[in-house]
Amino acid sequence: MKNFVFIFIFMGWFSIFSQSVKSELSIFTFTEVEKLKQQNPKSIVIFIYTDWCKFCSGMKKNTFKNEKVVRLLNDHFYFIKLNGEEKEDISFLGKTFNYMPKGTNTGIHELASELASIKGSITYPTTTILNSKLEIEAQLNGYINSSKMNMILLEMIKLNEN
Amino acid sequence: MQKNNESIFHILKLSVFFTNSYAQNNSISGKILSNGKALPFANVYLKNSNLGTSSDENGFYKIKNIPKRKFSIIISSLGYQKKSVQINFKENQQIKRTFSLSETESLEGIVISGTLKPVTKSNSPVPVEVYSKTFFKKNPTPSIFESMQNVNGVRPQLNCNVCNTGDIHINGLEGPYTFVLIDGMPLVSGLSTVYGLNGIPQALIERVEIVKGPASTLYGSEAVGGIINIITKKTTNAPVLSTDILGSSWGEINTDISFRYGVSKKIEGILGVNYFNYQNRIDNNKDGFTDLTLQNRVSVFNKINIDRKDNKIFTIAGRYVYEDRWGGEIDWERKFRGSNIKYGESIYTNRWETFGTYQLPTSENINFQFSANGHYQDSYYGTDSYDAKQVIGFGQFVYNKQIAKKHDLLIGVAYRYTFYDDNTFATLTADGLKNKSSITHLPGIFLQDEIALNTQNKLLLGARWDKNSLHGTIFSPRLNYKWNSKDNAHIIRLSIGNGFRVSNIFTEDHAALTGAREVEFNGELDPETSWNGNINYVKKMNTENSFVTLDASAFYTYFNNRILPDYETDTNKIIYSNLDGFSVSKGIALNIDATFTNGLTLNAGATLMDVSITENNVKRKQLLTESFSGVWSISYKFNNNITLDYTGNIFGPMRLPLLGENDTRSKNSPWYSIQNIQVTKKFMNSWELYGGVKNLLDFTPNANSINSPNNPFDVGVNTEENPELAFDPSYIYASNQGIRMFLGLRYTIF
Repeated sequence: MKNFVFIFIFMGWFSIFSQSVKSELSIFTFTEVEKLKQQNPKSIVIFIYTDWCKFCSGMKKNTFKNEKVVRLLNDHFYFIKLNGEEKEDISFLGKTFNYMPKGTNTGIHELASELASIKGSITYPTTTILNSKLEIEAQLNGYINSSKMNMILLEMIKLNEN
Repeated sequence: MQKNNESIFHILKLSVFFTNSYAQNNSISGKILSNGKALPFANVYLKNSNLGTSSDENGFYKIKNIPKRKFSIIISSLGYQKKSVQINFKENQQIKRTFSLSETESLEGIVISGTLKPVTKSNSPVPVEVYSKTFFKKNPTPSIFESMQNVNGVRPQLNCNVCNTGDIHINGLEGPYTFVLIDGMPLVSGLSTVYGLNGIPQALIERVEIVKGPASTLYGSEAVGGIINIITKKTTNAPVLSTDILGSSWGEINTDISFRYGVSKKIEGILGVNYFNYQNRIDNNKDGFTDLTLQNRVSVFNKINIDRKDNKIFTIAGRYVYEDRWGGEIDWERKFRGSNIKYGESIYTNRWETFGTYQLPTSENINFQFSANGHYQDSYYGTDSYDAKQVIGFGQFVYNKQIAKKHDLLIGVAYRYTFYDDNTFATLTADGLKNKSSITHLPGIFLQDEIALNTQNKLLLGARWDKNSLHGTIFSPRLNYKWNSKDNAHIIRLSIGNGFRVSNIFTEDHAALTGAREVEFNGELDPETSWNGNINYVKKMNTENSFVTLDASAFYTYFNNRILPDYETDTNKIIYSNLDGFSVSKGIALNIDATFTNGLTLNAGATLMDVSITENNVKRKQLLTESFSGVWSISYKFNNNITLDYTGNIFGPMRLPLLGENDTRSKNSPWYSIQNIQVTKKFMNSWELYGGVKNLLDFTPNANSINSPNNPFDVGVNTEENPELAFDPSYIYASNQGIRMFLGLRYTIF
């Protein structure tokens, strides 16, 4: 009986502990997701930002720190952050995407342009959701606060279930 | 657990209908709409089955092979309310149904994104302020010159009551100290500082970057007071077609049209045409002179971006401006040009410019940047003619190298050629008999290292050597330091640098040209040199629904030498001489920028400054310089695509140039404020209608701003004895345009 209580408490502590671990958002790279999704196919949420856009940092600080959003993202999605002005090459799906300069000190990463362009133009931040078949399911332009993000993610999950 | 039960139940149900699904000739098709418009990529599926599809680009969908059964058809799309409709399929039925989805309310809100807001580049150790085109749209104007009135610490100053030429003051320092660049290329300098800024249409702008304080290290001399870098639209982000027509109740018409075109897959370009016309002789202040200079201006801009192998840069752009402007007595005619029958100032300007960047096809990152421009001005100020020609060629190689992720090294070699000639005595040989055009060669090298000490500290060291063919070697060092807190919420920047500038009186100072006063040079004019220190603190505060940025700066600039027009020693003359003393510009500026997700944005700033000149131990306040200035823009976006913008500025008193002690005009300008209001309605089909009122408070300077407007040629006046009776249009600080309405229409296709 004593042992049982002990185990019960331990389990309880463990579940609290595992929850606090969960509230940290897991961020993957494109390469990691490519491997992981073969084992465990999930939708992919890609957050496309730039260093200079303050609404992007606002989302990083608020939306993606929100416990509900983090839990949904960790459980049902692969989350990737992509700097729209990234200078390094990124390999994804057997293709190499690179930075395309569009003048002095201005340019866009090919992958960001592929994922975030809406009607040929791009604004930051853009949140793009790919389904497990890697088709673009949604492109969400602009700042999204945590309650809105929560709603969107829930809707995506519902869509995927059906 | 419950969920598991449910899916097991589904499987059971599935197996049930598979057993009786022999007749599968039913189908359903139709269109998905929202607000009467086709909704593409909506999901359409039958509940508890694996049958489903999504609507195509035109909103059409079709599901075939539906078994005989009652189904719930579910239509959903992200951002729309899900719909569920029960349909009973019998046998061989081809059902046609159109569904309409309504938007989810909570998603409808306001889109706030990085391109819609003025932003600050937080990475750079140099305090750069960035203003986007959206910021300038809050108060639409025909030219970049007028647009600057909403930027804190920046004041577009009109210098002439008659021809309405202006310059841009940054932190109290006049136009020639402000270096205006287009896409990072020095294009607006010398002669074009006077009329060049009017010719840059607002429609061309992607964003404007402003650096206050000297930045001579990167840009060479002239960048003493600050930099205004106009970044034109990118070929990739520009709309396929954009048109914008703006008219005002004064009869000003501004038209902007721009196209994006693709020559081939790799070559893309933007062609922009701007036409501004104002032809109304309005004289509301009854001084017999036009209140606003009549203008007819056309500007054509073309920019091409060529995608090259290995993603190397190649862009080239060109612009041509023609302007015909005149102001003067209300009944002036073109036939009076240059005569003493009627007073008029008439200026024809022809200007071409080209600029671009070509990255060398080497493995190292080396860019060749080039620009060239020609400026031709044919003008009469009353009976004085001023014909000038200026050609500037510029080229530089910039080598950028990243060493061990810590050093970002920049090495450059630059060369600038300036040709200038006019019909005044400024370009005569020493004996004053022959014309001798002025040619300046200005080769230079510069070196800059941006050192990332660690993730929180950055240091930028720079130095530049220029060899001016007339003034010898110029050395300008620079130091910038940036600290940021771990979460980037606090940023502190320190900068120290010097500035160096060779003044070109005639090309830059419009007052030197206008009739009333004689120009005198007191000795050989030396280059102006200055030292500047700057502290900047930025604090960012974010919550779920608000973004607030506070930006505070303190600046101090000390001039060892400054060439200032002296209007006061002799009221008949403008005397230019080296400063026997020093000049100081110091102050503090505060900016607040707040955005709320409910649609409210607020941007306000104030600058408190003291600009003084100390000569022979006597300290004076600089003419035409305010001690206090404030700007604001407040916008509210309603959910029905209507935006309200309220913009304005306020300026403290400025000391004004008088004609001697007996001048009856007031010594100082009053406190004044220009306020504007605008309503914009965006329609679904790419149209946007905007309109409002400018100068709500109907502020105009005193009607007696032009001295002796009735006698512009000083007939019968001994200006030596009675300087206060002379004709003088240089007493001006604000536009004569009072309250007016404006209305505009934009049409944009992406």
